[in-house]
Amino acid sequence: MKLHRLTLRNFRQFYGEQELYFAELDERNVTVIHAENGFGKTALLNALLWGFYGHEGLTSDFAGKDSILNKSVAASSIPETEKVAEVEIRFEHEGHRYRLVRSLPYLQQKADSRKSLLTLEVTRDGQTFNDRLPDQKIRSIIPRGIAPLLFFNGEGIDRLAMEESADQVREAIRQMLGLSLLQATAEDLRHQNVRGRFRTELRESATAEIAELLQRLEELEAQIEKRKASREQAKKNLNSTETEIEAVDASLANNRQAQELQHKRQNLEAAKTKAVEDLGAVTRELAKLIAEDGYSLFTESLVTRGRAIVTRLRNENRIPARVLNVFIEDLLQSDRCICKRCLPEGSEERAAVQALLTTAGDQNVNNAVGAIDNALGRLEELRENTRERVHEFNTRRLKLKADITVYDNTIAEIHQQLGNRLGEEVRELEDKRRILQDRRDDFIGKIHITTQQIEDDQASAEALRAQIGAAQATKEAAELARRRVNAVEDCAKLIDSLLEAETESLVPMLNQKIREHFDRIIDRPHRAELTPDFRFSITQEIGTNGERVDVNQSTGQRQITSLVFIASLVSLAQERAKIPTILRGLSGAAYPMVMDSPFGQLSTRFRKGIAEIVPFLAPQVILFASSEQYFGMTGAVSDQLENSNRIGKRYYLTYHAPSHSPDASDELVIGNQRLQQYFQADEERTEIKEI
Amino acid sequence: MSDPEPDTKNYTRSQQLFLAAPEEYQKLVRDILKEEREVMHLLRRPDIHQKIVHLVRRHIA
Repeated sequence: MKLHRLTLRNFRQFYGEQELYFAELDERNVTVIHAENGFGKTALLNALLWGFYGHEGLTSDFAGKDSILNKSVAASSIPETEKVAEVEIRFEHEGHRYRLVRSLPYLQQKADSRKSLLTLEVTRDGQTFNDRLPDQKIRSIIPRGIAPLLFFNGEGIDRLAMEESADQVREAIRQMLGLSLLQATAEDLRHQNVRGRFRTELRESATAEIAELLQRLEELEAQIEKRKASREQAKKNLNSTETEIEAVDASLANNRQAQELQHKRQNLEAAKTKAVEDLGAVTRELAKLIAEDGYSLFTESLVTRGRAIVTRLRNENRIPARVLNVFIEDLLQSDRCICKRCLPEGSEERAAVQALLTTAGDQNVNNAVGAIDNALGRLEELRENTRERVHEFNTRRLKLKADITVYDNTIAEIHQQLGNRLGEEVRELEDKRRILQDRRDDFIGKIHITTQQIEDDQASAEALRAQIGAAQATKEAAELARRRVNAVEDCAKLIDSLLEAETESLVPMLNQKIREHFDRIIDRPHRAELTPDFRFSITQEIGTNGERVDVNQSTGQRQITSLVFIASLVSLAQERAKIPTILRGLSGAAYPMVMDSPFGQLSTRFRKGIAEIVPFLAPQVILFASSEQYFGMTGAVSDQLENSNRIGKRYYLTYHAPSHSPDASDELVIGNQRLQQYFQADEERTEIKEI
Repeated sequence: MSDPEPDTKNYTRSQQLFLAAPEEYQKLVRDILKEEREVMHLLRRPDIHQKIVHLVRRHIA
C-alpha cells in the first residue's frame, strides 16, 4: 500500500481545503511535516485514521472526538446542509488505485458524530467504480488491528519494548502477519452460539448426571471468561498507571531540586526490579531442584541402614556367595556328589550336602546386592550434591532478599527526603507518585491472583471435561451430540495449537530482521532479540568466550527497540507470501509508517540512531516533528535525514490563533530560509504549506 | 489450508500438528476457515456462528 495524497476539508482546525502529497519514490520515500507542538500534528495523524476507520480509529489522546467539523464553519451562517467535514485519501494497493472520501455533515455530527459516510472509488484496468462495501475493503487492505503499529505517536511507542507488553507484541505479530483469522475461528468455535448450542443438545439428550456436569462446566467457563476480562482490565489500568508514574518521574527529573535524588531513585528501582527478577529465577530453580532431587535429602538413615546390612552380609561371608544354591540343588537331584559318592535319601552324605543350602547364595541376590551397593553410593553422592546446591540457592536468595530490603529502605528514605524538604511542587509530585505506586501494586496483585484463579478454574474445567467424556452416553442422539461437542472443543484446541506454532515459528524470522535493523543504529556490541515468550532482550557480550548478559534498557533504547520491531514486522509482512504457513494464500503487503514525534525527549545519540533508520523502516515513511525535535541537539536528526537524501516531500504547518504554546517558535528556519509559521488571529486554524 | 504432500519432513510444526489430527477434524477445520476468511474483515458477522454449526452437523453426522 502506498499513500499518494491527503486532502482535508474543514477537518478540525484545517479550515477550507488543505492538501498534501506524500513522497512515493523508492529512493525518496520520506515525507517530513514540520509542526510545532499544538499546531496540528496530532490532528493530521488523526485525519488519516479517521479517513480509514472513522470515529473508532481516533487515538486516545485526540481531544474532542465528537467535534470533527471545523468550529468556524460550524458556527458560520452558511446553510447547514453545506457544512461538511471531509477527509479524502488517495492511495494505491496491489496495482489498484483508490480514492477514499469520509465525510461528516454538520447535522449528522449533531445527531451522532460516530456515524460518518464513507465512499471508496477503485480504479482497476482503467475502469473506475464504487466499492459496495467500503469499510470491509479498507479493513481487508489495512486490518484495524495493525493501525496502531503503522500510525502512531512515537513518544509512547517505547511501551512495546517493556517487559509487561509481551501480550501486545504477540498480538501485533498475529495481526500484522495475518494470523488473526485462526484466533477469530477458535473464538467462534467456543462461542455460546456454537459450542453452547451443541452442549444444550447434549444436555437435552443426556442423563441427569451428564446434564449436571455440563451445567457445572458451563458455569466454570463463564467464570473463567469473566476473570479473564477482569485481568485484561487490570492490565490496562496497570499500563495507564505506569504511564502516569513515568510522567511524574519525568517532572521530578526536570525539577532542579529533585533531579539528583530522582535519578538515584530510578537507578535503585531498576536495580530492585533486576533483583526481584533474579530472586524469582533462583526460587524457580530451587523449586525445580527440590522437585527433582529433594528426596535425596531424606535418605541418610536409609543409606546408613542399607550400608550396615551389606556390611553385615559381607562379614558373614554371605555375599558374595561362595557356593550357589542352584549347584547344590543339581547335586541333590542327581543323587550324586562331585566326589562321586551316592546321595541316597536319608543318608548322612545327603544330609551334609543339604546342609550346604543354608549358606549357599543365589546369583540374582549377588547381582542385586551389588546394584544396591552401587545405588547407595550414588544416592550419597546425589544427597551431598543436592545439599550443596540447596545451600548455594538459599545463600543467593538471602543475599537478594537482603539487597531488596536495602533498595526498599533507600527508596523509602529518598521518598522522605523528597517529600519533606524540597518545596511544595516536589511534595505534591511525591504524594501523587506514592498514590500511583500503591495503585500499581494493587493492580499487579490483582493480576497475579486472577491468573492463579484462572489456572485453577482451567484445571477444574479440564477435569470436568474428562468426567463428561468418560460418562457413558447411552442413547444414539446423546452419542451424536457428545461427538459434536467433542469435535467443536477439539477443533478449537487444534486451532489454538496451530496459532501458537505459527506465531512461534515467526520469531526466528523476525529476529533476523530485528538484528539487521538494530545493527544499523547501535554501534556497541549489543544484540536485540525477541525471546520465545515475546519479550525484548538486549544483551551485551562480555569477555572473549561469547558469554552475553542482559542490558537494562533506557527509554531511548526501548523506543529504538520498539521502532525496530515494528519495522521488522512491516518488512516481514511484505515477504509474507514467501513464509510457509498453514493458512493458504496469505499475500505479502507493503505498508507505510506514519510517525508523530518519534524523537520525543531522547538524547542526541538515540535521535541520531532513529533518524538514521527512519528512511529504511518502511517503503514509505511519513514523519511529523517539531523544530526542537528536528533541528535541536545540534542537528542530530536534521543532519542525518538531510544527508540520507531520502526526503521526497516536505511541508510545514502554519498556525493562526490568538496565542500559541510557549515552547513553539514563530519562525521555522531551514538553512537560509526563514518561514513564518505562527500568525496571530482571532480564530484558530491550521494550513498546510509545502516547502 | 495447505494440501497434504507426500514428503512430510519439510512440513512446518503447525502443518505437522494439523496432519496429526483426525481426518474428520482436518476437513471440518478447513471448511470453517474457508467461511471465516469470507467474513474476516466484516464489522458485523451475524451468520458465521450459524454457518459453523451447520458445518459441524454436516461433518459430524
